[in-house]
Amino acid sequence: MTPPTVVITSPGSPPQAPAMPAAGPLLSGLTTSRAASVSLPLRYMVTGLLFAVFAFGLATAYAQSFVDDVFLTPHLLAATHLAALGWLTMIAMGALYQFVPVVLDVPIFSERLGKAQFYLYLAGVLGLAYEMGSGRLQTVAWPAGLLVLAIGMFLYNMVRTLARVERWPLTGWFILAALTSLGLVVTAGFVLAVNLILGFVPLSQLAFVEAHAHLAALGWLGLLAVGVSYKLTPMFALSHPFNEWRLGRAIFVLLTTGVVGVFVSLLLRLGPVALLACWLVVGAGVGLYAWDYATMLRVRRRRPIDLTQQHNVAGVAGLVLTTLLGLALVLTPAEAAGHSRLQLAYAVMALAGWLGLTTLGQLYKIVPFLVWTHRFAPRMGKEKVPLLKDLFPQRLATAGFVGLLAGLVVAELGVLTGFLPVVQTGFALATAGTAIAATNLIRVVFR
Amino acid sequence: MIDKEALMEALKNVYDPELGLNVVDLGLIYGIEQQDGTVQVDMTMTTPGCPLHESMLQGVGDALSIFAGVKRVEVRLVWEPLWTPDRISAEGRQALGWAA
Repeated sequence: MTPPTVVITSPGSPPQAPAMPAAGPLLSGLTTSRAASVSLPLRYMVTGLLFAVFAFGLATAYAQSFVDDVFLTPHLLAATHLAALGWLTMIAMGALYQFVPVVLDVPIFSERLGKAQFYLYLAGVLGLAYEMGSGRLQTVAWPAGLLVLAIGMFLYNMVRTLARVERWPLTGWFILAALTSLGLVVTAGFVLAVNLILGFVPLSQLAFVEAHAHLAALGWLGLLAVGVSYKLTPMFALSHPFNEWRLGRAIFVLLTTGVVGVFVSLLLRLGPVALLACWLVVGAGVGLYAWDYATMLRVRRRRPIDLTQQHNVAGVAGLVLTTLLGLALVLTPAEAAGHSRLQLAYAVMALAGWLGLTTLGQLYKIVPFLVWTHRFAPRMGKEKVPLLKDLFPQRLATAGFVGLLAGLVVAELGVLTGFLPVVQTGFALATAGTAIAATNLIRVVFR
Repeated sequence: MIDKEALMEALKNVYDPELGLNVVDLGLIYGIEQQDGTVQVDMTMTTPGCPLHESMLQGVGDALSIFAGVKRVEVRLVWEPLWTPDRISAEGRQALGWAA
């Protein structure tokens, strides 16, 4: 007997994004004709998870660097770049390869380019961490060059992809601003690396480092995290009614303006008043965003706060604390006692407390979803298939989250008080928590 | 003609893998018609441009293909009226912890 024919049609166009109430439980998947193949984003995500464990492990092993008065020690630089590039940027790029086609309804310009870029980028991250960790700042130009090439390929791929977008939801604008920041970050980073040898730019190296780091964390990773949350949070939580544009437009303007202002103020050393003014603009954006995020959760129809939302709530708290620590830094003279501790506490809070927790939380949705759509979606309707939450042990995941969160709180206290055993304990806990998350998620991939 | 209740019951095997709710309790099914061995389903997604739509639509088609006498299943993705959480059934709301 011939099986029945199944015909799928879509006679009408979906409504324009700005007019739609942002609500819906269905996530990005591979079954759309636009979506990238599963192996492209997953290679970035799996590698990023391993780098997360590596970065925290390095921070634990060299915890002394977090209590010394000497700022920017080799191991600190290595751990920071492993976190920013190996962990967070690696995962962010993988997520964009999966997220952009789905949210902005365009296929990735070239998946082959995305795969080739991965290996160059990986070599660049490893090389940079090695050279920095060895204290050979004069030779960071070669891995920096690899990174510029790899990120340049990524940006080219994204620009060619985004050129075809017809409708721009709020998330799309944040992605565009984040990618623009990334272009500036990598340019500034490469100029910095070359300038270490040639010294051709008559600007303070420290000013360069600070401006570069802020643009990376706030501009590239930060704007991306905020933008992505406007799509994923209402989707996961079934937030309704919620209009992303009501405060989102003002938040976008405040954050992008503030980030540019902070970058320029730091780079050109415009002074504490200009920096404070720019930071207050960032702070206003963060405050409004925290309010809007709370609104998304307040109007949610799906009442239980799941693991991803727990990470995200902690991440938004981390963002608010980052902003307050940044304000304290702006108001504290550089020569004041404890200034370098405050800087370190601020950096740890931004990279791990805000961006790290947020990234790991989103991976608990994205990775199982990718695997589910690849392995189980073709069987749906014919047989019982597992749910996303069935793909990994929830209790173990919660244990990992608690370990990471507790570790970060302890490490922050240790950094602020300059007490080495507390810093070591905190980072050890965070390493364990991240290792649990990495193991859990990588096991899903190989399930 | 196949009993409509039986068709709806079969559609309860098609789940949103994130929420754990089936397409019927989610309120995604807008209509089912039958004629000459063809079953036509109008359904929507919870959000326009939903990335899972192809697997959900295919799942609905496959779930209805099990019935004897069905020669063709047509699944149409429609956007009017736009889905809202108010379409979720009482059972679905309970599963989501949404008492309102």
